[in-house]
Amino acid sequence: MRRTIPLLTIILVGLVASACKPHYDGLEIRYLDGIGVFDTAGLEVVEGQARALEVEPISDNPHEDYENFDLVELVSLSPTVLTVAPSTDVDRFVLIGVAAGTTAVEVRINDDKVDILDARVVAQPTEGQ
Amino acid sequence: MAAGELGNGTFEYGCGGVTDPACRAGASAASFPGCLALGGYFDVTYTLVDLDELDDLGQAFIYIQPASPSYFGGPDVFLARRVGRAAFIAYADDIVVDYLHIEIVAPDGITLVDPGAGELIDRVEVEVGSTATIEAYASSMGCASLAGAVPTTLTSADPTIAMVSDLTALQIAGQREGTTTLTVQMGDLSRELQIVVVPATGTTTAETDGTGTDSDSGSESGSTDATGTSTGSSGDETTTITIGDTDTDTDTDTDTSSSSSSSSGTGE
Repeated sequence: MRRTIPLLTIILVGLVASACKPHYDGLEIRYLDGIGVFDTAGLEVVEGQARALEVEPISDNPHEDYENFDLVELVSLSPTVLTVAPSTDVDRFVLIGVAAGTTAVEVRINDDKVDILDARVVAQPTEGQ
Repeated sequence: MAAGELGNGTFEYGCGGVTDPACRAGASAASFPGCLALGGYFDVTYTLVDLDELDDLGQAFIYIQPASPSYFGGPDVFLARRVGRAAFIAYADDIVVDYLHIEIVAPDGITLVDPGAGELIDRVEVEVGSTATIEAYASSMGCASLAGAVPTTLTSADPTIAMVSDLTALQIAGQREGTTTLTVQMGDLSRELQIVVVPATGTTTAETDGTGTDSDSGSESGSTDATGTSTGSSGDETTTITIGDTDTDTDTDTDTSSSSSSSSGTGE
């Protein structure tokens, strides 16, 4: 009995602690230019152009959502195709289409890698098209 | 200037040289152009609306980069490399503070202007021993406010009559009485200008016909001016000067085709 009480306490504290932490369940993305919405096909920008977007991580923990101090980072796995740069607000990023092609963007929250998003840089029509 | 698309500041256009239509007669661009000429040189700067924001961002200065180097060269001055719609990005370190998109179009004509009268020209009269200044700009039917200094080559068919005399402006010096042709070339486009050198009487004029813009690519020929003066070259040399490119040497080339008697003139 003497041993059982501390063990239960540890388990309870652990459960409470995990309940206080958000659990990643996706990223809500809103393009600021109003053209198109994020879908399962992934991030998209036209070659040579830029697009600003705002992101908000979604938590499936009903007791704890992500807060502003939870640092979200988007990291392009191929910056020669797509650059993802932070902007003037913590939840705002700019997609920059460097060259036509496909790549992926890593989502990190508080330095933890939590997701990989497909990304595509679409070529512009060439002359005469 | 033009407001950045993130609303944090303004982009300002800087002229690329004397053949930049956004900065005629040496003036600075009053507003950000609607589009840029393919092959044109120019500059872009950016100013934050709220300079305190730089402190907030912890950065000392802002720099501009193209979204893609395939559309704009750099970094000292920009060069429009490819037709399309492309963006300039204003950075403070690695943070994007703003951006601006602009169209790049291929010029389809060359506009020649008498800077004194502000009129379009296709014929210039200059006295022996005097110089006449012209302005030459790339133009596009699809863009009323084209910008960018496209490197320009001027070639006098007969430099013994008139020769190009200045690298920083488009100046034509009358050498001896006669008529010749000046070819203005911008990339794949070219346009001919009739040069009439008259005896020195103390005045220099640039005649206008009210048209001025031509989208042909150097095939103007066949007409003779009202006085019946042939513009065929009597010499066997041409002078060529390139303005706005990295190679600004003055060359003297042998023109084996100068015996042909193509007369410029209206060209319309």
